[in-house]
Amino acid sequence: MKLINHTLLFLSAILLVTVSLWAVLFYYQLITHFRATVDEGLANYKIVLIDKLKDDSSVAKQDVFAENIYIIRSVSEDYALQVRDSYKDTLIYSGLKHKSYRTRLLTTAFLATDGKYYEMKVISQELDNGKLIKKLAISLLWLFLFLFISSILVNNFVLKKTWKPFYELLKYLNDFSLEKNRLHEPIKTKIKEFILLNKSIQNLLRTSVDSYNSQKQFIENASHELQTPLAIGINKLELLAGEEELSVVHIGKIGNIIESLQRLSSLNKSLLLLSKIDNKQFIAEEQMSFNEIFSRTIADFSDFSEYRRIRIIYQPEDIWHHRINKELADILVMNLLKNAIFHNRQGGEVIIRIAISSFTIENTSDVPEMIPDKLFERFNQTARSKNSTGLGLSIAKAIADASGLFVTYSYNDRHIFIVSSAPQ
Amino acid sequence: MKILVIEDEPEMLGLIKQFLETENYVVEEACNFVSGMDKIVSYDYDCILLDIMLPDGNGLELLQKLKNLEKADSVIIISAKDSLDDKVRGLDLGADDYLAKPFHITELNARIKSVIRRKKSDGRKMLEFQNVKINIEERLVLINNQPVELNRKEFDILIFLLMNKNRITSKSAIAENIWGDYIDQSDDFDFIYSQIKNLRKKLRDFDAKIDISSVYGMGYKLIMKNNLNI
Repeated sequence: MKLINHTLLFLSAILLVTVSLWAVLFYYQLITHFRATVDEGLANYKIVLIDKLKDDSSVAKQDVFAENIYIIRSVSEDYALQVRDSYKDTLIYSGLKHKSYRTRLLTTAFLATDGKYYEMKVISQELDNGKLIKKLAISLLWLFLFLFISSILVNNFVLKKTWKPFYELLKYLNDFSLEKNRLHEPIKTKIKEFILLNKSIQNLLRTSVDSYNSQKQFIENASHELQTPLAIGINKLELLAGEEELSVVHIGKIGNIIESLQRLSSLNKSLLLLSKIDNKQFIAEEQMSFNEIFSRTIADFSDFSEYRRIRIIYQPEDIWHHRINKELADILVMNLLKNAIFHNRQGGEVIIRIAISSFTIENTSDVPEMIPDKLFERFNQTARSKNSTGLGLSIAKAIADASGLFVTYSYNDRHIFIVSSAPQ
Repeated sequence: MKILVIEDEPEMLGLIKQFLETENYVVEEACNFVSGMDKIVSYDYDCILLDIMLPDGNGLELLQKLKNLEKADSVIIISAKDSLDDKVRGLDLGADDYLAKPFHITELNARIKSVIRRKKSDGRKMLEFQNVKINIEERLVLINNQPVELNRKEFDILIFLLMNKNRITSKSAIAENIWGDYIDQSDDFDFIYSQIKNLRKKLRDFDAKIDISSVYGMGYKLIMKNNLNI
């Protein structure tokens, strides 16, 4: 639920309760006030009637509420004296309407000018509470609706404006990636909390970016620093192997050590390459034809594939030109092709297809289906042969990412790698 | 033959010096920019091995200086930075070759020989090893004055082994020299064996006085048959 809607919901609930509570109180106050007014009217009417009785004694000849709204009957002095003016709600049966209706009744007694005591009852017009409640409820509904709409407007205009820096910050955090290495401009706001949030986030990101960079720098430096001692070690061993007094067994052992050092060295080179790709150090891009790269690379690998008795089937269906760094394009093709050959089986095959904006490399293998996400991870342990660095496919992925290409893996009895200029 | 090695890493410097001396070169050394500059200005060398990452300056400037002095010394750049930019810049400035660390000592040997040979012989002279004559530029091999058909890879392997004659040449050094760096991650270099086998057979068929022997666990070694005292 969005923050704005959340606020709105809360506000509406509070409004509903408040308005309802207020409605009940208002109703009772209104009713009390209304009765007081009606009672006052009845009292006035009483005085008018008593005044009338002075001049017109026929007024007193009323003993049912027929056309008039009062009854006057003569009563004994004792009875009259104990009557106090009283107002009460009562039900009156109307012969005309054939139904009872609620009304206000004033009962009083007085001494007329003719010296007789009379009791008088006066009724008011019909009191209809139901109608009143209905009317009240409708107006309250309108009021509530009005308040609700105003709060939506307030939310949309005021709150949205208030929370704008917050949403900008949220969008920025969402788009942020350590690799991109870009710190944002502070968002302009006068609200203290947002300024604080802004500062905290900037501090947090700065430390993250800094430590990410220093880690990267460390790997780069470590790889660089390793190159020289590795070179010295390998070369010393090569010289040692040439010494005449060594036995065949010794030379074999030296050979093994050299092999291990070389593996270390190629691992090192791969790491350096990865960090160079990540650091966007391959800038110069040119229009490259993947068809040409494939023809060349297949020829380069022909000795090796022939030795393993792997058939490379090259089927260019179209020509794919792409703007990419030359070195990276070569490495991308090389790594994927190398992968397809090295993880193949004796007598297996590699099928290469090129379309207008993609190429596909399929290979047979004894290795079962791989998990696509894991496959491109660095040092992925599944299906590693003892001599591979485990970086070939992650280098391919890094190149694709840096060159606006998409590399995907699927399995259909064969391992299939697709590189294309649009997401699959 | 006089070679100047400009390298700041003392162990690397000592190693290269020791190796080059076994190849009967006269080796001078410089371990920083300033002493390198001194030697370049004062003497002439057949070949200069130049590390471009020096503590007190960029080796490429030394190269620039050398070319400004219009000296004919051959230069092979050796660098721990396998960067295409440096390579292009170095070769543009007139370096004869570029070798990234770590390299095989046999590869360095082959490169030095090839650089010196190109300069001295103008590429016309036949190289002679016992009864084998080779013209590298024309890719021609004569054994007992009879031409031998070698494919491109067999020829390259033969040259590489000849440059390192009597020296153990590792399989990976051969693979990198002939097939390029990309092969460095292959499972094993046994696929080289078929080429070596064919080459060896041709040498034997033509009764060459050189042979390729296998060195278990390391690689191959080209030997001169009369050195065997058989």
